[in-house]
Amino acid sequence: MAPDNTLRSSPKETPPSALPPDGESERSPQDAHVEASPRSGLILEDLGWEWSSSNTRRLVPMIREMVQELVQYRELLWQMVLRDIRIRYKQAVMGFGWALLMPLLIVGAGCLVKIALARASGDGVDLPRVAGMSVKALGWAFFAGALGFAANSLVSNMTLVTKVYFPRELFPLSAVLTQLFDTLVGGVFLAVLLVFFAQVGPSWNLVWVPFLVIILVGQTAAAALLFSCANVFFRDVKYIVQVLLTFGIFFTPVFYEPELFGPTGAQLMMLNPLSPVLEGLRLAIVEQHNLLHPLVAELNGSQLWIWHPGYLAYAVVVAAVGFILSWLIFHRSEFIFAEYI
Amino acid sequence: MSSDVLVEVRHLSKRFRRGESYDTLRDLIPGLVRRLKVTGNQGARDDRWFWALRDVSFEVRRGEVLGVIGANGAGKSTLLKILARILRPTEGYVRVNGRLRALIEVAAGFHPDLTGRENIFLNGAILGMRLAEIKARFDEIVEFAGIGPFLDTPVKRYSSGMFARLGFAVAAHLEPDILLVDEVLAVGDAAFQAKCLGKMQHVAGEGRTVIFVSHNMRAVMQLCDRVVLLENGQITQEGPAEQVVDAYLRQSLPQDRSGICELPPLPDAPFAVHRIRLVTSDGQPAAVVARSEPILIELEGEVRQPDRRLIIAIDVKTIDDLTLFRTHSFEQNQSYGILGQTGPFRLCCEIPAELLPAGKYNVGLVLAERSVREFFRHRQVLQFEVYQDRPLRGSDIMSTVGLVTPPCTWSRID
Repeated sequence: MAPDNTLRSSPKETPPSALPPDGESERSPQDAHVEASPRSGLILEDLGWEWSSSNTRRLVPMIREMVQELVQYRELLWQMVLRDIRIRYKQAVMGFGWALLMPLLIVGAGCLVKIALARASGDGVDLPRVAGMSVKALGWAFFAGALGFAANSLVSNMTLVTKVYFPRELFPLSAVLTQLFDTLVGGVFLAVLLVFFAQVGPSWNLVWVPFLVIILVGQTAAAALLFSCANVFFRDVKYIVQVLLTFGIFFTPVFYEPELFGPTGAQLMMLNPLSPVLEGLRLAIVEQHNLLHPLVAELNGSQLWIWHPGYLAYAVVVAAVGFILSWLIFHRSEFIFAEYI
Repeated sequence: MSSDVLVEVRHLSKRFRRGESYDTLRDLIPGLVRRLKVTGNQGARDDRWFWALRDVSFEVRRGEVLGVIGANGAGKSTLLKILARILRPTEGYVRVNGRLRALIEVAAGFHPDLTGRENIFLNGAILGMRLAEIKARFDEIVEFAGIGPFLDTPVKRYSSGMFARLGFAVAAHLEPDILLVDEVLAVGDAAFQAKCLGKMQHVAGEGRTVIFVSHNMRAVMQLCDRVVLLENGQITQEGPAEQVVDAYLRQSLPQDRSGICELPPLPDAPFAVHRIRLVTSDGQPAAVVARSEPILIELEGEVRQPDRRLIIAIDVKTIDDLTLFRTHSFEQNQSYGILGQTGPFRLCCEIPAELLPAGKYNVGLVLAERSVREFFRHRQVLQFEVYQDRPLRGSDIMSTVGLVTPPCTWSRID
């Protein structure tokens, strides 16, 4: 790679706004210019880096540095995803079995819940509801699987964390991407089932699906970064994650629809940031609803919002803000991982 | 400051926490409560930190091979990990100007279930190679590692030697501006080590910059232009390799109790002993010897200016520094002039079996030119232990056996 002098000289062009803190002034004049470079852990493409304890840590350079690093290490991220997929699919039966097992279990549980509800209310089990539940179950399976693997990803790769440097974000992120691959395998399977058994046809509203998947991945990655990082410092975090994943499904509209809880309950249910994503998937795929339009039902004279575009905006904001915040927290603490792990 | 300085370290300090830290949430809460109770006691809290590195400054220029030496716990690995960005310093300034790659544990990225081929790509990426680079060097890597036929076998079926070779092979084909090496040469058999050393010399010869952390003083002297000596987290010596290694070995003897001791190179002396080691009769290095076996002390060195008056003397002492005897290289007539030829030499000094009773002993070494001058003297280059492998007859009554127990012959002559 040819050295790029513009990049290398960039720290010296910035105005010396970051004054050295007290005590630094006693050092030799030779060091003075050194203290003036204002950034922390600055990465000069692949040309090196610098770090100084007297640097102030500012948000924008830090985010730029994080993104630069991730771009620089994209091939490694790919190799790590490939590694996990290869290991999981080494025996094809096991691999595909694994990809289908969790969604199938959740769908099975969902069917039981649906049948129980139908018996209690005296109605029959209707196919679109089961289809919608299956779609949401796959989404939940992705979240649960990704978070389960990601939370432990740093601790289980201890040797790498203490021996080699690369952005540690790659561990939880590769766990999420590997799970995404599994989910896609499950998704293809589910799509076939939906088309043949539930007569779900294609519609223009399917274009919402990739968008919703991106939001789901964003939210999952946010949780993955946060919990994997916390798990380094507190080893019992993984048990908390297990409990969260076991009972979280009851607080997320997977087996049921939020409107079951009435006008206020439905809106409260949507506070769970996963709810708008999963409901959105169901409405777009099974109900073929355009998510830009609200969906309102009349219930005992009051309005019940089954869907509102605001829900979608909420999910997007949670995904974006959550991802950036968790990433920042992760990045701030990643340099002490090797000491704690 | 010229752009020739590839690594610049100024006033670098690293502090670690020792003792209790709360690694579960369950412990955190009671821990915080306890901490609140002892808040007034500032001194006790400061004790929990220790400085692994303290105010370290140095720089490495392009094409330079810098050695970092020091005893265990002196801060070498911490320094290397900071340069490799694995650890973040507590204070100071570090600048790395170029592509830096660290070989701290070359096989760390291997996954046992993946094949050799898959692992080359994975580990290459982990060590910081681009996919295109790995593809371009793939054949070279396979050839260097010598794993051709096993390329598509999962590495968990590899022998440990193959595993290590593959690890180093990938690492050796990195092309960084700055290479950090930590004791990689400790892996593999002698032939492979020689290959690794050769590869590193090649890398250094290409004008690549290398920072080499090692306990292997021969390798450090062979490879490095300049050496820094770390002691308790501070740089106490810096200079040409021979000089610093010499100073380090003089003060740190004996390094350990493995029965081997590396000695200072003595650049000004007409001859030098590089290494002294204790071996059993089958040639294995050992610090523990059976009483019924002779004790062999092997010396490896080099004569630069041959002289018949050059002598090597070995003192055998008790651990409380009482010299039991001294033996030297021209004790017998036939060994007179044993150092009379230029070039490397290997000597063996045999202490007869059953001479020493069970116990611990020190070995002192003196290198001199007879009645002219002394080049080297150290009261303890080796330590060894003799154990009683056969029961001593009558030892129950005669428990004090004396300082030496030479095998004496008893017979009736009346």
